[in-house]
Amino acid sequence: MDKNLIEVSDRIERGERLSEENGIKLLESSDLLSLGRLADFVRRNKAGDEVYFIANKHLYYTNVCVWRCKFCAFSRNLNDSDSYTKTIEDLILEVKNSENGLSELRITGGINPKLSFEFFENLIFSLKSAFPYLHIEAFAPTEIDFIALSSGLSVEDVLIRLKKAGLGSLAAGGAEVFSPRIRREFCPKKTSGKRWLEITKTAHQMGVCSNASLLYGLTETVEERIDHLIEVRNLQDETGGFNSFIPLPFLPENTKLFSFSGSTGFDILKMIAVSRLMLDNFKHIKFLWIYGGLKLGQTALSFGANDLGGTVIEENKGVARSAGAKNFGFTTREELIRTIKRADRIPFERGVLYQARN
Amino acid sequence: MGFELKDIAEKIESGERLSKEDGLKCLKSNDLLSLGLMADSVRKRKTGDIVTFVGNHHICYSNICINSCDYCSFGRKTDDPDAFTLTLDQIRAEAIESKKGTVPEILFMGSIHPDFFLEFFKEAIKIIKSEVPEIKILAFSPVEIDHFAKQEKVSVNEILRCLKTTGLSAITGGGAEIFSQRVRKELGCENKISGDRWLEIMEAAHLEGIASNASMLYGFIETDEERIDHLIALRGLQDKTKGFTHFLPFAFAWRNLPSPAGYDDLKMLAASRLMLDNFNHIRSYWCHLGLELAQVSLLFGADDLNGLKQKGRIIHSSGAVESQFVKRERMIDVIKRARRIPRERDVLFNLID
Ligand code: SF4
Repeated sequence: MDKNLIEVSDRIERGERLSEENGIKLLESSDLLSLGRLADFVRRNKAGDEVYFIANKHLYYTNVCVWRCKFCAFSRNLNDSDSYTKTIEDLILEVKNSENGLSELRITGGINPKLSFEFFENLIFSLKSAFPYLHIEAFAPTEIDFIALSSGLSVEDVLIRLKKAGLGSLAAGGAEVFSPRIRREFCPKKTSGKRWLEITKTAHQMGVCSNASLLYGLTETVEERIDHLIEVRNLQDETGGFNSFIPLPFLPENTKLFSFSGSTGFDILKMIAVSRLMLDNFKHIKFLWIYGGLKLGQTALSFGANDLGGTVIEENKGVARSAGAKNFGFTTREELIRTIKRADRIPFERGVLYQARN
Repeated sequence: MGFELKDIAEKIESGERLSKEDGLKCLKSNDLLSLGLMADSVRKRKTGDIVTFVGNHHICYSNICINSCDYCSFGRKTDDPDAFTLTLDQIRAEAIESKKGTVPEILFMGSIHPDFFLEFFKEAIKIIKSEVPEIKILAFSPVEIDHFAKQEKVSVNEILRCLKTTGLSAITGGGAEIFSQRVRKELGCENKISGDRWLEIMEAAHLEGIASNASMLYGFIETDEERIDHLIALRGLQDKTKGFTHFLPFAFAWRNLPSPAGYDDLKMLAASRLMLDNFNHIRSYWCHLGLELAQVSLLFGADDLNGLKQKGRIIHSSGAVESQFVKRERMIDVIKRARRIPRERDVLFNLID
């Protein structure tokens, strides 16, 4: 084992919380297999052998966005020829066409000033009325921020009303890296990291849970990555409202950042392992298999991951695809189950709150 | 470490050869990371931190084939509308094309063509050599060598000698598939040369001073035992000749069988690294694994990522996604980001500056 890992490894064995310095050592190590073993050890104790996945559908209500983050290939300007904003009827139809076996809708979109609070409220209400048995996970904290600002309502009121309309939980997204330096460079208009955490905390306190993520592979330093994880960990200590953590590799294809080489398989597995090791108060570390394929996803199960995301049924202009995910598309329930079993683990189809599906 | 791998780890540490039972234990184990750690330690000992790749150019002379292996969708019959055959002039044009890059290797390959004779290929090799004299030519597999010998009614040794004088550096390991006759039957390639014949021709080639690689096709229908037997047969020949430059396992998708999962790919690589103690290099096939997982496979025993260009059409036939090309800079970056040292090589694994 890399000798820089020995101290950290002892701490992990004793079940101690890792410090920022420990985290940095982990990220700097090139001994990926040892990191994997440590993460796998923690995963086994904390989360057992089940591997979770969900039958879900992603809905994007608009790709018009006035924030235009540099790493985003999904968003468009209002008058771009391929911009779209969907009507509620369209969205309902979209779900109807692929409803079979779904348990969750995941609804997100760009920051489109043309949309009023009533639209968002109606959207949730109509979908929930049309599909009462589907859990609705909608809007990242950034979208909530925008909805509150543009409607003049407080974040609390926005959440209360959306919850009443049928909102089940908040979507992951907009967390990116909290570092102000990185946000200034790549997404200056976006909700700040601090604000993101505040909104998330408010939601958690109201019983609306959510997911945390980290977009990595831009120009952030190892410290910035670890600090992000620690912020997330602190909030989780306070609220316990995060269901899972999702490290998201930045994939430069299709974005304006061509010069980036993006995240490689090494980075992806390492970030999963480090997330597992740092986030001692998270049970679920998720590898979204669309970001690297099922083969890599299966491998990630040995590096700390215990969730593979969805049997994603995604439309053409989804965010993951726009951010360059190559294995875009959907996989079947059978294929996911087989993949998990062949890694000697137990497939577990979950609901949004990690409950078993009946 | 899982209890079942303890004695294997000890053997690996002391450099002892693994038995068939050991090999089976490796494949049966699901302790992926321990297998990786063992394979990685062997890799380190054998090749250090250098990861090689080759800038290559392919000339595919024809897709008309007399065989019709079930899993291959490359081969065509003469009158199929998409059958093609290059003329010598076209081959010359391709050779000239290859000069545009820094290419140390030309892979000259095709099918088992009914009307091409040795003369044609000798001519083709001469043409390539005259256009790019410094290039190393990798061409033909034991299947073609066997075919030439029958066509010309001479011994394989004679064929090999003659090709070598013409300018051939190495032959490919094609046609090895998996040696098990049972599986060959099921794949519908029992008409191809047998595993024994393949080994015989390889031995002859090595003794004539022609190098080659060794490969294995794996997927869903062979048993673990058949995989390990295949490795042991290769190891046996390598003991005798030392003529194999490297080994590569490659996965195939066939009919409606699912393609092997990442676990299986990595385990197969690790088991190969552990079993094949007399092979210097283990190559990982990024075209099948994807570049991300191929990078990860560098921790599971692999030390070579092969060509920037993959022989698309034939791989495609055995189930890979599509013909693929990766830029030199990207390859170098991927290797560096695995904290290893990228080096370009030629067909005989000589490093190139
Ligand atoms: S990442 Fe979100 S906020 Fe940023 S441009 Fe894309 S859609 Fe808009």
